[in-house]
Amino acid sequence: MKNFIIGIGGTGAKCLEHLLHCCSAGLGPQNLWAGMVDQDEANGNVSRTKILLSKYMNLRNSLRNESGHDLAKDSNLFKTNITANNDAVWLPLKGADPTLEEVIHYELLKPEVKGLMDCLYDPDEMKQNLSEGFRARPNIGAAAMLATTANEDDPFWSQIYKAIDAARGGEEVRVFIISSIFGGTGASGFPNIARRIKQIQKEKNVTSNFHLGGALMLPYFNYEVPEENMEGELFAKPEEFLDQTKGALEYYAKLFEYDKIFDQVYVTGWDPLAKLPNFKMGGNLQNNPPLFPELYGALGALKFFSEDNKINDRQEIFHIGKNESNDILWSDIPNVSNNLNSKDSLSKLIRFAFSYNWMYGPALTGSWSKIKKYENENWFKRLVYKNTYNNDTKACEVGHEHNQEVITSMKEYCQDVLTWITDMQYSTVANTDQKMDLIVSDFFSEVQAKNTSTRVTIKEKLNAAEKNQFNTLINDSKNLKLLNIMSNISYKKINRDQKGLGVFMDILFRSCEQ
Amino acid sequence: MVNIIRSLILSLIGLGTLAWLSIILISIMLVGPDPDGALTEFFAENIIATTKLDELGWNFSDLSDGLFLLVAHMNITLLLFTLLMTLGWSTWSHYLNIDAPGKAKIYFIHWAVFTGILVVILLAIIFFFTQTTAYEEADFIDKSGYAILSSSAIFYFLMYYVGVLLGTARFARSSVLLANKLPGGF
Repeated sequence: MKNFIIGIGGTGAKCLEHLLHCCSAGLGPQNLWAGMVDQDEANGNVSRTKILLSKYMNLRNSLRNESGHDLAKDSNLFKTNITANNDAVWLPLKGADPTLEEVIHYELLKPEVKGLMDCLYDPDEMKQNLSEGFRARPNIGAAAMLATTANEDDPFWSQIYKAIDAARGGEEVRVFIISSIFGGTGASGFPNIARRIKQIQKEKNVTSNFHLGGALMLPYFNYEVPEENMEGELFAKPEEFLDQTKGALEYYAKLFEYDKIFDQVYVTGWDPLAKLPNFKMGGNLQNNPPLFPELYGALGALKFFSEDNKINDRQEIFHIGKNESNDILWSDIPNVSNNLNSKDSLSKLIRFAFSYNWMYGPALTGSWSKIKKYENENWFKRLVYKNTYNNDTKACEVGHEHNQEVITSMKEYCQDVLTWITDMQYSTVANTDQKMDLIVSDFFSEVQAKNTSTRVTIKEKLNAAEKNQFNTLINDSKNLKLLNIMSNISYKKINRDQKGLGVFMDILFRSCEQ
Repeated sequence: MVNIIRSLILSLIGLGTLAWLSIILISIMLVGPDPDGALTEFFAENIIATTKLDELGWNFSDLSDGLFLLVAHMNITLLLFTLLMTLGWSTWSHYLNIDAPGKAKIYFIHWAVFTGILVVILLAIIFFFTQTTAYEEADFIDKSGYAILSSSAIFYFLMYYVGVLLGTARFARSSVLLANKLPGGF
């Protein structure tokens, strides 16, 4: 089965961020192509996901290499083989500082068409620089997207063509689109890209094996727009989100009534809305925190890709939102399938990230002269020494550059996981009556809500008392201690196909469950 | 729990490498002295103060039954304590708070103290059986006999050491002398 996911706009990119962490926890399908669509190429949310995607792919490639480090097929760590184009982001409008006027060649239009355009768009909208996105104007985004050609030569669209060809060849193909229903890029891209995909499917006469799913994020956050210096600017206004959503839902209701575009649609909403402290119109400063409802979007995608998900002929619409209570708990996170427990996998990943970042990663970092003090310890001897030993040089090469690169990349990724979960827990409920109790993070992190670039800082070192709080890290009844992790890594069975540092990484990951 | 059971089994195997000697010796002594047996002869020549026997006009056969029983009971007690302490350490090693790389070495002190306690207990048991009035026959054990019987503490210590060497939790091996030299997968 081939799976494709497209995150449209800032929300789509943020949902992809959650999805990547879920995939590293083992909740994803075997393979997945990931792409993003955003006119605001420098957008902070998109950039963050792009970097994370690249980290995921590099780390996975390093750890799933049969001739080097190999986690082996059965390992759930970085299970999903995620691929992407060289540039994972598709810009609907190429060129520097495009405007709608240029895109539709306004000057060349016949007078009557010009008149129509004048009715649909005011002069500010026509002249708005679109290099930082569609500024919550789906009418601009829709026109811009429809004006671009979705041809087979474009690296982004060629993947869709390939997917549809694969379906025609008999392979099952699932494509999933995530975006917000409000805002600019997402709201305009979601229906237009979906319809374009359906159109290609029809052109290629593919009637089976191809399934299209989507996740629509209803308003789930807002922010305060500063009054100064905003006059004459086009930007996303939170007070318009609900009206935009209402209009969009009416549109989708009609669309779904007459045309079966999607096989499954996952709709997520959140009330009360999360309150973001910073407003930025676009660009690299628009770096919004990960929020809990986006995790629902990501899990919807993973459910869609799950082999247990039998897609029927009917168009199915699933919806999910906050429960009645203001407490957000692990039990609010749905499972991907009967076999894939989201809570177990995510908590395992978080425990792994903690124990790797502060306990085992530092022990493996540096030259051999620094690392060798552990050479007689069972975990090191069994999982690291033996598997990084070079028979030619008769030496353990864990301190060598090629191994240190993997060790350091994993440390960076673990910090990303801890930052992600801490930021999500803090930002979803900040300044609201809600309370999120998934993890206890105050002993290993510091949150500075106003600082957009580094909202969450993970402590470089923890003292003994802080490390001892590991058993309270996840709010569940398991009470897994660092001692249990040490015990588990000493006894967990090594799979025969595992090699190099893949042995240690997988055993540590498996050791983080009880 | 599976890991603890595994440790206990390995401990028992370690103990078994020497314990079988002790069990055979105990069995022979519980059966009673064989007048022509080598063990009886060894006891008569090396354990008992013959001058004291002569003074009382006794011969070795008058106290051999009791002496055999004394040594048998002493060995049973030593064996049981060794078994208990070995299995105790093997179990406890799983609960030592070794939660970070490099921390196991710190627990060498715990092992050294635990082992010291075992040695003291072994010597105390030997003292109880040979130097107190609990057994009449103990009066007839001479200095060389006492030295020979005391040296059995070394035998039981070795038995304990092999037991803990194999039975200590893998992650705690650096706390036991030379245990971290065992292969990682063992």
